Amino acid sequence: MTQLDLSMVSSRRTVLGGLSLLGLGAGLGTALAGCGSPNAAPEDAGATTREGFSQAALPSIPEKYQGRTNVLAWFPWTGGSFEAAERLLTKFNDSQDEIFAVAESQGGFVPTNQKLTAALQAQAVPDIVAFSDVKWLQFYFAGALSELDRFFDDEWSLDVYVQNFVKEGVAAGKTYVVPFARSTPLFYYNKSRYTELGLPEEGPTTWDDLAEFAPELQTIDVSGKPLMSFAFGPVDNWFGQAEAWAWGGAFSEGLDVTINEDPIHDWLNWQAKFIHDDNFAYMAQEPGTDFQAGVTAGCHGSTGSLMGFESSVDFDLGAAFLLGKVEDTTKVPTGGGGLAIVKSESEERQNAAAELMRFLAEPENAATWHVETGYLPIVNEALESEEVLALREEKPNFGVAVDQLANAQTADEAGWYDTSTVAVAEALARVYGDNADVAEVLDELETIMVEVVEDHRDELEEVLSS
Amino acid sequence: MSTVDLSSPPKVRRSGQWREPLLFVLLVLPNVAVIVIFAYYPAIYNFILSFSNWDFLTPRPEWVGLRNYINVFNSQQFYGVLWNTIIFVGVALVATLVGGLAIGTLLSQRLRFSGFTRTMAFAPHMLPGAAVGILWLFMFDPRYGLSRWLFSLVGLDSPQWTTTSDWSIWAITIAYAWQRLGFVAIIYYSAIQELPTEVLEAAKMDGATGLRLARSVALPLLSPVTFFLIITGIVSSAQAFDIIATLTNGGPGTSSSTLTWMVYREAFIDFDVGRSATTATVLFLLLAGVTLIQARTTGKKVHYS
Repeated sequence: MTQLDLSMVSSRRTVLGGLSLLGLGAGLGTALAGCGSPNAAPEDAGATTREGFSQAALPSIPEKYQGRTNVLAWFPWTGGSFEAAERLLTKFNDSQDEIFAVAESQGGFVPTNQKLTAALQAQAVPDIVAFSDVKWLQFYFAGALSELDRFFDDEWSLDVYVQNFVKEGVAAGKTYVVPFARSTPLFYYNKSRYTELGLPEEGPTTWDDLAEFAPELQTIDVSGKPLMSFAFGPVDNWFGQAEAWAWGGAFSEGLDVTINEDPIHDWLNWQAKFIHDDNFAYMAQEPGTDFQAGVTAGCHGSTGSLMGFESSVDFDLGAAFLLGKVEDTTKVPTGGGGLAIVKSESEERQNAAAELMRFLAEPENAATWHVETGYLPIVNEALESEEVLALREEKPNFGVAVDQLANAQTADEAGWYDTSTVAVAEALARVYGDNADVAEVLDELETIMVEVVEDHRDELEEVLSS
Repeated sequence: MSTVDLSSPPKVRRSGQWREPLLFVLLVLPNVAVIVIFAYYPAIYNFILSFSNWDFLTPRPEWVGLRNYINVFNSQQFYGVLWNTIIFVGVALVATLVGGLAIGTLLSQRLRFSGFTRTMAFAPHMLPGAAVGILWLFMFDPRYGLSRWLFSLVGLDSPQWTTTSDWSIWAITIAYAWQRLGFVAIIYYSAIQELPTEVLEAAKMDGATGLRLARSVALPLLSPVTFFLIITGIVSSAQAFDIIATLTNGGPGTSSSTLTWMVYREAFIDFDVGRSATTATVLFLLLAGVTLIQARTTGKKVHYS
């Protein structure tokens, strides 16, 4: 019996060992094979379709829309904005009888990019994806996006869009993304508090104004603490771009990184003093939440937050252009999302997706989207539409957002990659939160940004060529 | 007849010898297949990717040899994040073991509402990490959170828990330890219930009481459970992600980033798959090493009877 037991143990080990080796061998083989195959570039990069790339799983299709060409759109929005998008898609579905478009929320721009990456690996992709500003470039270089110029005609082309938003969707002279939920940053302030103290109702126009108003704002007690004039956040890279421009600097001039030059030092040293020496401002984990709670009298936010603030705050909301400094007019970076078509095996679905984009660019629909979400009107004709003008009349803050559009421009090239934007956000957070040495922070940031630009120089030069 | 009698039994034995291993293989194959596909394959694929430069999207990962490892070990940031990981894992481990043992001992006393108390003690462990993170985000808020009130009791301002580098690592450590504490307490409580009363009685008869009884008898008897909690505690805390994501996002800077957080960030923010795979491999080796050392040192002091 003892011998039998031992032999069984031995044989089990042998079998397990054999199975393990088999498993490891199989895993290794598949892994090595996997290195090359899952997302191979199309044989013909200029082809309009991509063999093997089918449509990702669709939600159930209502009976009345059965039998149509289905278009799946992956949107980053949640809550009210996503519901507004769904209403537009329903309107589209009811406006014709050949295409059924359905939207799925991916929970944010970053998760959308992550999930699209996984979808491309699985070769089961959505038809339309909304990307944040220029965060579509990696997919363009992977050959995943469909060129849109072939769908344009006299009625729908880049010409119908507000031109400040167009540049971010073009690579090497060809269009891959069209504007949709575009935004710019705004300076939000508690107008009730300003009025109460006799401060200008239109809010500050420069950072120096804010520094002047801050001591007066601090005379107001909020649950035992002085009211702060401004709350910075842990992810302020987008707003930081505008501040860099306000101080006469830039993240980069073309592909030359200028993040370590004097204007940037001046900017961050000024903010460090404003926060840590003067105690006029602070860094909040969620500045928007603190602003709504009345803890701070000011914060930055997207125009896309306007509708949310309007409906949630219990004080008179003020919105102003981003604050200036040495520049007379502060330029603001465009943000928000644009729409792209993911290249797939079906030309029919890509055509249908383009029809949806065309529909969303119609002035009436663009105006509805603006009114329901606060995102900016994306087409020229919508700017003067009755719906938009009526909203301006009723809620002047929306007019501020639209007027600031004249100052909007694409962010500096060195900040086009996530690694750079995260590095900028982290650098600002160290100054705002830790009062870290500005020179040291900028030295480190410059190293990272230069590395990113050099790693992607060829790609960036290709994108910028026309 | 004798020939037949002699030859038949070995035939039966050969058939029996094959049947049992075959049955064994059939029974374990599904499990082994699942482990191979969902554990070994990703781990090996990750190891292979650590020698590559890839962004998930370009057609082929580029073979770069040991470059990622050289970059990682030459990176100041890596050592900062490694130190964060050591602090996070070490402090959370000690806090949960000490606190869990204390709570487990209290729960084992015959007190009123002990059932309700046990449930409440275990409740945080049942909450998703994201919910725990959000909860603590509000409690840590220096302007309107519980932290402000607590510090005001002693006339101090609350630390800026989640927005300053000096405090952010402690914020995630406290929140994580709070979540795990109930689990450790319940495990200790169960183990205390199972302590052999005859051994404890004998020790008492020999004059051991109080701390002496706990240190020389109870703790050694609890050592298998402690050993289990140490190993699972190290592995679990080193893999913590959701609390970091909701509380600090690893910041400011990388002040509250652990190796697991860096694996995520390098892969899904920087899209630097090779670097991320390298960090993951280093994390795996560290955990394997720590577990091995634990098994060889602490394991020898564990009393199973």
